[in-house]
Amino acid sequence: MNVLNILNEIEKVDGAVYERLSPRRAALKNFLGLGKKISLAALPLTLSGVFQKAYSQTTANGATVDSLNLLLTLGYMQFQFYNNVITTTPNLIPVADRPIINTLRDQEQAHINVLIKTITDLGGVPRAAMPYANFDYTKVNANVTTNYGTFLRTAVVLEDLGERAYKGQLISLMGTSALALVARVQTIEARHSAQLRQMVNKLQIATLKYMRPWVSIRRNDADGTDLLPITGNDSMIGTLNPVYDIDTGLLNRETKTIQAGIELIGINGNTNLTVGPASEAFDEYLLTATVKTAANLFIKAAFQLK
Amino acid sequence: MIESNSESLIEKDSFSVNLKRRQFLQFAGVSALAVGTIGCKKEKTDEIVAPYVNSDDTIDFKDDVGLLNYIYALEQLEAAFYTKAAESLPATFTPTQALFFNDIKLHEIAHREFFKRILSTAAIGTLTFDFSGVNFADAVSVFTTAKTFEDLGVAAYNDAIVRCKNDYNLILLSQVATVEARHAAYVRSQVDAIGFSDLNELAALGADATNALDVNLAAGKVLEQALKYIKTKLNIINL
Repeated sequence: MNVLNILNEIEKVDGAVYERLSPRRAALKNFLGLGKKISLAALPLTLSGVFQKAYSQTTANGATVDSLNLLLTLGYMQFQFYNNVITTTPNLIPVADRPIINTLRDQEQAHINVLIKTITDLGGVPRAAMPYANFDYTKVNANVTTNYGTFLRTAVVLEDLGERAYKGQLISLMGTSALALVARVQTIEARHSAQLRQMVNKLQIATLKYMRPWVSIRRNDADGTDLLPITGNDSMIGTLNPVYDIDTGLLNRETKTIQAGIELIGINGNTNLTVGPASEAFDEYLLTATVKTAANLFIKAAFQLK
Repeated sequence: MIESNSESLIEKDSFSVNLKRRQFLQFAGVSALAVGTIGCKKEKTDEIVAPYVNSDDTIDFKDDVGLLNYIYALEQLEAAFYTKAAESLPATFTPTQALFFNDIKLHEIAHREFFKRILSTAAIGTLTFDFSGVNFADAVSVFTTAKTFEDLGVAAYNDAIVRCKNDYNLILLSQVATVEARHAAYVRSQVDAIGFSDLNELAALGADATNALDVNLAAGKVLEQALKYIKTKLNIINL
């Protein structure tokens, strides 16, 4: 086995490998010099230790902490929204729905707690708690504290944003201990959204009479047919496009029907797979920059994400 | 097709920065074994290997192909169930229930056909199923079965996301996982109005109610339950 060959290969994917190792340059130099003396069997273990020290304490944890702090911000945003209605205007919620809103609030609180614990365990600093007053929940409609339909529609958007944000962080968390955590929260966010969307459907609000539990295309109120063009988003509010539409430089809007180069419309002769179900069948991620843009729609100017 | 190709290229590009770090972490590896093999492997030139043809319904968990075949089997199960149910929906179904149920059926067909296409010749064949325990005339029986399949699906995806080795597969699995979770929440709500995310009830599938973390189950455990409905003999190895 050739150690320099390994370093060369690493350099191809990380040009900064030697800089990362540099605080330990003396150790590495010793290590390379020792190469001939130590047994071949012990070598991989030793080398692995050197790399773990160079990477896991700096780059890996730093990026993971950044990812988790972004998600923590969205957790605060969701929690404060539910907690506010429960504590200040509980009568806005029909009695039958209260256990549902309580579950949403409690599960967001649990996500905040587990994110803070994970960040702390990684040696990072969790973003400080953000109070209700830091947020602006009026993007669907200013009557969000007095109209239950507006309240539910706003919650849908917050959950969909959360889900897309979690999905977007998964890739950079691959190989880290936080991957499973983030994967298991993103499906909870999806459950929340599906429940809330269904509640919006029940209210039969104008323009949303065919709202689905899954993120879909827009439909005509009269008969549920596709409302063209399919671009735009099924919250029916253009201001909210950053939540559902195109990621920076990517075509991954929620209405997309092509996945990994494969068109789902009519796939393998299934002609009943039209644009609606084809776009619903896959949810889309949002990368960090777009998450911040979308999240800032709901955060007051002084507290926005940069 | 031109559009679709350029689209996936753009997606790949955008991940290159993250990818580099991740690729490196795989290289440097927590495991000494990984480091050991890299050093040797890279001295060889790449060989051209004939595409693997899966002729005996093999699910070999040694790599992502096996993992995706496992997912493909679960998607076949779900699609077959909804297709069978849609042939004659329970009489008590409301128009909205029928509409959403049809949506779910189409999503599962899309998933099934997508994985079939992705796996190409490596895909297992078309499976046959036994739904004799389901009373398709009864809404509660249909929704309860749907609930079983959807929660099991979410549990399978959440584990597969962590197990898969290729980042591109991770993205795809994560994209479907949340749609299955949406299905799960919906069908659960049809048997329990407040049950969309009842993590105490879902503890058996690995849910963690204290931290509000969703279901998560190893493939062997998922298959234990899924195989009750699959008649085709699968050759499951390296589980």
